[in-house]
Amino acid sequence: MDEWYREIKRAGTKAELEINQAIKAEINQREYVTAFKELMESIMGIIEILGHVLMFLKFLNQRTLIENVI
Amino acid sequence: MEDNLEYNKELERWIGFIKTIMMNEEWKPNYPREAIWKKGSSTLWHYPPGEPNGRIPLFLLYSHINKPGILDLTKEYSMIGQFLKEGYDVYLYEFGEPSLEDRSIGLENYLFEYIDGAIQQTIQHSGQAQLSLAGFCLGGTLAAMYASLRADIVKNLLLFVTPIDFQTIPELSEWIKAMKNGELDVKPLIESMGTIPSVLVKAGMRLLTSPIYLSPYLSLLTKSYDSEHTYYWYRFNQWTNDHIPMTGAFALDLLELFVKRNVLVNGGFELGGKRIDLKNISSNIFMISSQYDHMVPADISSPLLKIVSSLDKHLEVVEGGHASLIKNSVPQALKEWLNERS
Repeated sequence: MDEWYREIKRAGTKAELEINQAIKAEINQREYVTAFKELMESIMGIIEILGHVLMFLKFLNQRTLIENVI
Repeated sequence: MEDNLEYNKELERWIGFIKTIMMNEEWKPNYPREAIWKKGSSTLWHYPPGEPNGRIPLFLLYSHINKPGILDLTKEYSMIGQFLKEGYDVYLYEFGEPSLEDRSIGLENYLFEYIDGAIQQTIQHSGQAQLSLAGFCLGGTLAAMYASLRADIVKNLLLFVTPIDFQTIPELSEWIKAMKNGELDVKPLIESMGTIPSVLVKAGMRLLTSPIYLSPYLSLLTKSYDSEHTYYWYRFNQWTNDHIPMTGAFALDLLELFVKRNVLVNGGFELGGKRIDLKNISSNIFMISSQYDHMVPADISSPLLKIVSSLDKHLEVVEGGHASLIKNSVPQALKEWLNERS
């Protein structure tokens, strides 16, 4: 049985190597760079909007605080 | 009778396999050590040898990407243990896990405050004026830069699977090209993250090495009836999955200086008012690359040997992958080389 498992390991490792090389070759294409760039810009846009929302909430919070103190 | 034996072995194999993948045990050092200095999240450890050999100490600088546990995986598979057996005082610098507050710690801080601080402490603690500096992976890149600044301290420079020429990473050539021509700018994203979480560091490393990662489990299955083997496998697999966060400033320095400008092979650069140029390295150099290392093959490390001023330099290409040469043992050639020069 040991030899059978070793054979599975050899075949699995070889298949894994081939798949990994194919994945890496696929990723190393201009379209993926462009897609990543667009995704990154969208994420940055969302972060920016969230930042503005946070600032507005801070402002509301400050205003409520000041009203309560006065 | 034979069928029975085979059946029992198969049972043990699968029980061992399931037990190992379900295991959850924290890594512990296999040799006594003492923390002698701390700065931020980093720690300088001292491992005293059983029988000191009276030679200059060995300072181990591991990478920013993984934990240095691989240098002391188990009592049997321990590079630190091997050096201790040789009688060296071993000092290990561990970067630790930077938090969000550490986001602005960049290459300059690491080199001039953290690593230099740890090396000065080692000099003081050991009572020796010089040391052997061993760098692993990206830690080797930092070690080479430090050696170029302090040739007076670094007598021997040992570099294990160290990236020097960052332009020879063919698998990501389109990404590097896009970064170089400014088409892809990840700076705003990294700045907004502050510190890159370990899960992203792990994903990035997987993408570079093995996006599909199943063969180690097949490897475990071949000998999972052997408890010694499963324990070693567990420790190694735990290490491969145990990445640490990277500060945003350091990640940006890596991208700008190494990936975009490839400064180490292009004549050096200014950092913190000092010139870092690998040609100023005059230490004795022992460089080790591994034959099946897809991440840092010898072509990425060896350009250093053409740049440095050192007269005593040696490249050893050993069998194995990126991590296997670190986890297995200290090659005999390195032991002899170091003994003669320490």
